[in-house]
Amino acid sequence: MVNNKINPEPDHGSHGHAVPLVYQQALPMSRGKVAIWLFLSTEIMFFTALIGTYIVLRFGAPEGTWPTPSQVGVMESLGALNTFVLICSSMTIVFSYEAAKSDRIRAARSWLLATMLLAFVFLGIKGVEYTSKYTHGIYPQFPRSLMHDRPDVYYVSNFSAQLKKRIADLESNTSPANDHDPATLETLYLIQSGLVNWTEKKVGMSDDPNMKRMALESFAHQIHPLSKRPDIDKYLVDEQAELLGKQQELEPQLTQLEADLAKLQQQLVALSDEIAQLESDRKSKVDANGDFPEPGPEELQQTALLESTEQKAKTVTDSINTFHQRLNPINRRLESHSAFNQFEKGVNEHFHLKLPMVIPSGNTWANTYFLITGFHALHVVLGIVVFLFLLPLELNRRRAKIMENVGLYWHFVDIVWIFLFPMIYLF
Amino acid sequence: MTDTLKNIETGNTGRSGNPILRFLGTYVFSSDHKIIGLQFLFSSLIWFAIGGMLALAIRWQLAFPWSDMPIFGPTLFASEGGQIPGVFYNMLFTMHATIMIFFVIIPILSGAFGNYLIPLMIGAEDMAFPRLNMFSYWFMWPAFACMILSFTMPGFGPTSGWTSYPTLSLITGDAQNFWILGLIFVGISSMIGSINYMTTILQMRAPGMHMFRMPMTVWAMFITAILQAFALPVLTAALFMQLSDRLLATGFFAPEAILVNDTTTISGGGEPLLWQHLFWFYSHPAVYIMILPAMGMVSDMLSCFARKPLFGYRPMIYSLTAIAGLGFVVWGHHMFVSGMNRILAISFMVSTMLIALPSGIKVFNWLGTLWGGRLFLTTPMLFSIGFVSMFIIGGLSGIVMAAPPVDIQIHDTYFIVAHFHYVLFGASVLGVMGAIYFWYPKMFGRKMNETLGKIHFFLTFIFLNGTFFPMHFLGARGFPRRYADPYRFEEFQDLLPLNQFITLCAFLMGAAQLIFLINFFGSLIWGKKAGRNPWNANSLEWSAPSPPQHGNFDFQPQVYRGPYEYSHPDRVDDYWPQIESPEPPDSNQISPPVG
Amino acid sequence: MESTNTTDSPPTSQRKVFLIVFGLLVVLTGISFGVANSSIMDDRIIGWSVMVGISVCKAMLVATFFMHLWWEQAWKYALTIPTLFMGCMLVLLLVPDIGMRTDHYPRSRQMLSPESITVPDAPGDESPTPNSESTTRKES
Repeated sequence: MVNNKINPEPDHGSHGHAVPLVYQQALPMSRGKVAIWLFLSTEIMFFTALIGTYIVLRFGAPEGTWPTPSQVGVMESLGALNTFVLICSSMTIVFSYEAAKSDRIRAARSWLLATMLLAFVFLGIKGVEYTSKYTHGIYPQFPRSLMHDRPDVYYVSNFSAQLKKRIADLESNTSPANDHDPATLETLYLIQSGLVNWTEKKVGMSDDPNMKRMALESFAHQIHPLSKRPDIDKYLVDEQAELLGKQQELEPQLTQLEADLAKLQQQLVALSDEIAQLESDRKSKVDANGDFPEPGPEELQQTALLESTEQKAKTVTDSINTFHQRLNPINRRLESHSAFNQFEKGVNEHFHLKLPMVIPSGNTWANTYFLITGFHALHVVLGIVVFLFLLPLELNRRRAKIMENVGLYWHFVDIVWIFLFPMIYLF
Repeated sequence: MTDTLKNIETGNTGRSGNPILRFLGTYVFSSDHKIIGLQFLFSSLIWFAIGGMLALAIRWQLAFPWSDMPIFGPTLFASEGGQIPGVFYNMLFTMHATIMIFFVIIPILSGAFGNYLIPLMIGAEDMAFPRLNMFSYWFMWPAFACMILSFTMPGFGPTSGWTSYPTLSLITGDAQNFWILGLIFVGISSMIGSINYMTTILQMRAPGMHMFRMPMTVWAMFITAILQAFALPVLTAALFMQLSDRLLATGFFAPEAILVNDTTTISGGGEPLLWQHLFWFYSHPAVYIMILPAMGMVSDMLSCFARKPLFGYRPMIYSLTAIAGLGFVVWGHHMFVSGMNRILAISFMVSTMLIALPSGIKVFNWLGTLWGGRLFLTTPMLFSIGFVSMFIIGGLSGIVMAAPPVDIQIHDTYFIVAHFHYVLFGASVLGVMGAIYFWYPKMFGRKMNETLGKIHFFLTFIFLNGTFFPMHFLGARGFPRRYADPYRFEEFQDLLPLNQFITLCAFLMGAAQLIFLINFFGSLIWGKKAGRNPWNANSLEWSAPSPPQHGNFDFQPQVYRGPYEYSHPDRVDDYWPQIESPEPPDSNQISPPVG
Repeated sequence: MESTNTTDSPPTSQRKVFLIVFGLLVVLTGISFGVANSSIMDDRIIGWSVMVGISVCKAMLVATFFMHLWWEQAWKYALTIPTLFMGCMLVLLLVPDIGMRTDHYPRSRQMLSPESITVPDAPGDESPTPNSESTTRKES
C-alpha cells in the first residue's frame, strides 16, 4: 500500500526554496482518477435522487393511472436505438483510451471523434423525441397544463375556454396567408357545437352519474383516446342510433310545420291583399268633409281574421324555432359523429390541434420524463464539451490518464441510460 | 500585515512584475490553499456579521413587538411608520438561518479551516487540485450575488423559511428563485471542495503519516467531506426540482392543485412530502457537517492544552464515522408532524437515539483527556471547554426530542430553537472561535491578545447562555417559533419580560464580538510575534514557518508518531512533534524554534 | 504523474474482451426489448423485475470491463458498495411516504387526483368489440 514516490506538481513550476515533497498514497493511482471516482459516486447520489423521485412518483401514482409509453407517444424503437448508440460510444472511447495508451495517436483521435459523433447522434434522436412531445402538447405548462388527470367538468370548462380563445384568435386573424384556416375554423366550430356544448348540456341536464361520466369520458376519448374503449364505441353508436331516430321523428314534424307555415303565409298574403283592396275601395269614397267612411263590417272581419292568422303563423314559427333548437344540436352532434368518430388517434392528433386532453398522471409522467432525460442529456452535452477540448490535443501515452478519466465519466453516462431505457420506454 | 504575509508572497514573486497583477494573483485569484482558506474565513466572518444583525432584528421584534425599529425602521419602512411588516419578519428568520448555515458555519469550518489546515497537517504542499480549489471559492461569489439580489426583490427576500417547504415555497415571490440558485452554487462549491479534500487526504500524506497518525481535525474534515459529497447531490437535485416547479410548471412537490386567488397555478400531481425527505436527506447530515470539523479541532486543542494524549484516539475516529453513518439514516426526525408513516417514524426515532452513543463516546473521551491533565487555560482552551459543555446541553435536549411524542409537543417551538442554537452557536461557533485563536499565529505569524480573548470568551459564554437557555422555558410553554407576534395569543403575553431579557442578552452578546474584532485586527499589527510553534503542539503544521510560505514546508516532512504524544514519560519536553526523528537530529533537519 | 504502475489499468490486449462485452450488451438490450413486447409483461411485476435485472447485468458489465473495475484493487468495494447501499436506502425510505401516498390521501386530494380510465369489467354490459366497431363504420 505504501509506495513513496516523488510527485512533482506541474502547476507550481518553481517556488523559491520550497522543496518538492514526497507523499505516501492510499490508493495506487493518479489523483485525477481518485477524484473522478469520487465525483462519479456523488453523481450516483444525484441520479439516485432523480430516478428515485421518478420511481416513487410513478409507483405511488393512483392505481392504473400511469400512462403507457404508447399513450404519451414514446417510441420504444427510438429508445432502443439510443441505447445501442450509447453502448457503441462506450466501446469507441475504450478503444480510444487503448490506442492512446499504446501511443497510436491517430487511432486514438479517430476513436474519440467517433465517440463524439455518436454522442451527437444520441442528442439528435433525443431532440426528435422532445420535438414530438412538444407538438403533441405533452409537457408541463403554465398556468395549467394541457394534460388533465381526469375527465371532469373542470376539464370540459378549461377545454371550452381554450377552444373559444383559439376560435377568437382564428377569427381575428383574417390574413390570406393561412389558407388552411377556414377548414380548421370549421372543425373548431364543429368541436364546439358537436362535442363541447353537447357534453356540457348532457352533463348539466343528466341526473344519472353514470350517464354524466359516460358523456365526459366519451368526450375525452374523442379528443385523445388512451386505449381501445368498446364501451365508449358502443355508447357513441347507441347515441348515434338514438339521435338518428329522433332526427327521423322530428324532421317530418318539422316539414309538416313548415308546410303549415307556408300555407298560413299564403293565407296571410291573400288576406292582406283583400284588405288592401277593401281599404282602397273605401278610401276612394271621400265625403264632403274630406273624411274617409268608417270601415265596413266585411273589412273589420277580414282584419280580425288577418290578426288571428298572424298569431297562428307566429305560433307555428315559434314551434319551428323550438324544433330547430332541438334539431340543430342533434344535427351537429350527428355531423360530429360522422366527422370525428373514425379517427383512431383522436381529434387532437388528427387535426394537430393541441387542445386539452385527459391523460391520467400525464403531468407527473411529463415532469419526471423531462427531469431525468434532461439531466442525462446535460451530462451528454458536458461529455461532448470535454471531447471538444481533448480532440486538438495529442493523445499520447502521457495523456492516456486523462483519456481514462474522461472514459470513466462517459461510461457512467452510459450506465445511467442503461437504467433509464427500460424505465421510460419499456415499463 | 505586509510583513506577516511576506512568507506567502515570496513564493509567488516570480509570476509577474506588475505590483497590481501580483497582488491580484497572490491574494485574490490565488490557488494557494492558505489564501483560499483565508478568503473563506474573511467572507464567512462578514456574512456572520450580517446574519447576526438579522438575528438581532428578530430579537427586537420579539422583545418590542411592532415598535419602531431603531436605525433601520424610519428609512426602510417609512410607509409602515417605522414598524416592520410581518412578511419582513419572515424574511428575517429565513435569511438568518440560510446565511448562518450555508454562508457562515459550513464555509468557515470546511472552507476556511479545512482548506488552511488539511495540507499543513498532513504535510502536503497544497491541495491535490489547487485550481479546482480556487474555483470552489469563486463559486461562492455567484451565491453571494444571488443572496444579495434576493434581498432587493419585492417582499424583502425569500420568506418561506430556510427549509423552504412546498407548497409555500412554490407560491412565494421571485426572491425564492435567487435563494434556490444561491444554494445550488453553494452546493457546487462544497462539492468541488469535498472531492478535493478527500483526494488530498487520501493521496498526499507525508511519508509516515498513516491514516491513523492523522490529527482529529483532518479525520473530521475527511468524514465531513464524505458526508458532503454523498448528501449534497440529493439536495442539489431537489433544488433543481423546486426551481423547475417554480419556473417550468412542473409539479414534483405540488399536490394536485394549488389555488392562489381562486386560480390553479400549478398542475401538480406530486407530493410536498417528497421535498421534505430529499431536503432533510441532505440537511440532517449537514447538521453533522456543521459540528464534526469543530469536534476535530476541539479534540486537538484539548489535547494540546491538557498536555496529555487524546483519550481514546481510535474510538474517537470510530465514533466520528458512526455519527456520520448514522447521520444518513435519521433525517426523518425532522418530519414527525408531517404526517409521515408511523413505522418509519419509529425507525427514525431509534436511529436518532443511537447517535447518542458515539456522541457520548466523544464527550467522555474529551472529559478523559482533561482528567488529570496539566490544564493551560488559554483562550482556545476556554473556548474548547465551552464547546464541550455547550455540546452536552444541546446534545441532551436533542435526545429528548428524538421521541416522537415529545417532538410532537415541542415541534416548532422555542425548545427547538434553543436546542440547535446550543449545538450550532454554543458548540460550533465556540469551537470556531477557539480555532481562530489557536491557529491565528500560524495564519498571520502573531498571537492574539490573551486578556482580550479571555474577556471575549467569558462575555460570549455568559450571554450565550443568557440568550439560549431561557428559550427552553419558552419552548416548554409552547411559545411558537416563526411568529412575528406570538403575543397575539393571551397565554403567551406573560412571556414578554423573559423575551426582553433574552433580547438584552443577545444584544450584549453581539456587542461582545466587537472585542473579538478589535483583537483580531489589532493583533495583525500589535500582536506578539509567534515562532513556528507557539503552543508547543505536536502536529505537522507547527513545524512549518508561521505563516507558511507558498509550498508550505521548507523541508521534507517525515512523520514518526501520532499527533498526541504529550508529556511522554521518556522525554524532558512535554511534547513530541510528529516530525521529530527518534535518532538524534542531523544538521539538515530543522528543529522548530519554540515560540 | 509519470507512473509506471500498471495495476490500475488492464493489460493492453483487451480488445477481444471489450468486443465480447459489447456483444453481450447489445444482446441484453435486445432481450429487454423483447421482454417488453412479450407475454412476460402480462404479469407486470415479473416483467419489471426481469428488465431491471437485465439493466443491472448491463451496468455491471460496463462497470467491470469498460470502467476497468475488474482490474482494480479492493478500494472498488469500499467506494461502490456504500454508495449503492445509500442510494438504495434513500429510495426505499421514500417508498412508505411517497410511493404509497394514495393510501392516506384526504378526500380533498382524492377528488382531484388522477383517475384510472379503463374499461369497466361489468359483464354483459357491452357488446363484443368487433361488433360495435363494424356498426360504427356502417353508420358513419
